[in-house]
Amino acid sequence: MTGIIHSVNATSPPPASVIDPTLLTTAVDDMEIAHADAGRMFPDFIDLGAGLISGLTLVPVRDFSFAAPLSAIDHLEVHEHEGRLTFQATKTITANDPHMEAHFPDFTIFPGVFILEGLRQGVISALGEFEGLLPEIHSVRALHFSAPLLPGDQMILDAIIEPASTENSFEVVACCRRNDGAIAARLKVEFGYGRTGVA
Amino acid sequence: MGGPALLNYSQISLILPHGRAMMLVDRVESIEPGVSIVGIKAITGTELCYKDVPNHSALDRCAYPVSLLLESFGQTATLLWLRSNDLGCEDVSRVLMFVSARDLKIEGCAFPGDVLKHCARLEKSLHDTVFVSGETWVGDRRIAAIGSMIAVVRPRSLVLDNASSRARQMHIGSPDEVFSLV
Repeated sequence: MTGIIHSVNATSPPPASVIDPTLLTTAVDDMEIAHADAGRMFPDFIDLGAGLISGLTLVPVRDFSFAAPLSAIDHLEVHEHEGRLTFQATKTITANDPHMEAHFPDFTIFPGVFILEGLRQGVISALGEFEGLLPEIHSVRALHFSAPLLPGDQMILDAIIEPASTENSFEVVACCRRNDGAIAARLKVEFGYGRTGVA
Repeated sequence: MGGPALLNYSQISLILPHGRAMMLVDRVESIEPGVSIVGIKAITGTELCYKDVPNHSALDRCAYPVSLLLESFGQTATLLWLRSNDLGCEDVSRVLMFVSARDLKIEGCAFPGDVLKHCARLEKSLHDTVFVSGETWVGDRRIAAIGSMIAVVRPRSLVLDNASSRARQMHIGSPDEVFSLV
């Protein structure tokens, strides 16, 4: 045996055995929390990568409490490949949101600008804060919508975060698909930390 | 504040198909059909987009979302199109759908208490495609420059026919005909 055995009351001398009941209690509690979390009715990830999860970082959709019309993504997976960060954000389109009910009252369709909002929330959740500032949209270089997202559809947003082009600027290129494979939108957006024009 | 209303909130609500939470133009100050429009949107802290922002949050967390800013500008441009005779003034059998945009620069922020002033210009219209550009101001600060926003006119029946598969198959714009992207 190599390594260290942590135990409650082992009699073997250290360093092979370390008596640490507090650490063991914490480990058991963490295991129980993980077990309960994995058994939730709506887990964050299902059949992730068909079991091939090497090199994958799972990022919960984080709540940074900023103004937003709605929660535009449900789940997020972040990958790093050859020095570039990529993510896939997904959302099931539902009609039971005040903004959706109003767009439109006689026919609900996911507003195209909410795909841009989803990209923003995905970038914020993937990168997080830097010196108290969030990554924000500085310019939209190109944006094209090609198919509608309706209630019941799943939005799948794949994005590549390019390396920073300036001291506080980086480009994100994204493709938004429906779960039936149709391309709903393509986007090329410049982000930077902090809001332009805010002291 | 601002000039007299050419279209007030009640009149706009009769023109735009949006419900209250997504009707993002409060007043129209001027329209020159086929040329330009000035639309007004007042931001308040009671709007739905602020409901999850805690008290004592930093100011930058209270900035009006860019997504709603663009939607508000787009609705102003829609009002211009609807009032432009050359494009089928108030033709309720057709709707204008936002399909693409280029070169949108966000130069500043708007916060609760600010009033957005959207100045939209109709650049050109080709068949069923409309090209708009413009700017958004808060007082004397320009906070957004819209290089190009493109919309297409589609039969309303096609858009509203949710029950049929036509809406799901609807092709609302060709990437190749508008521009090549990414």
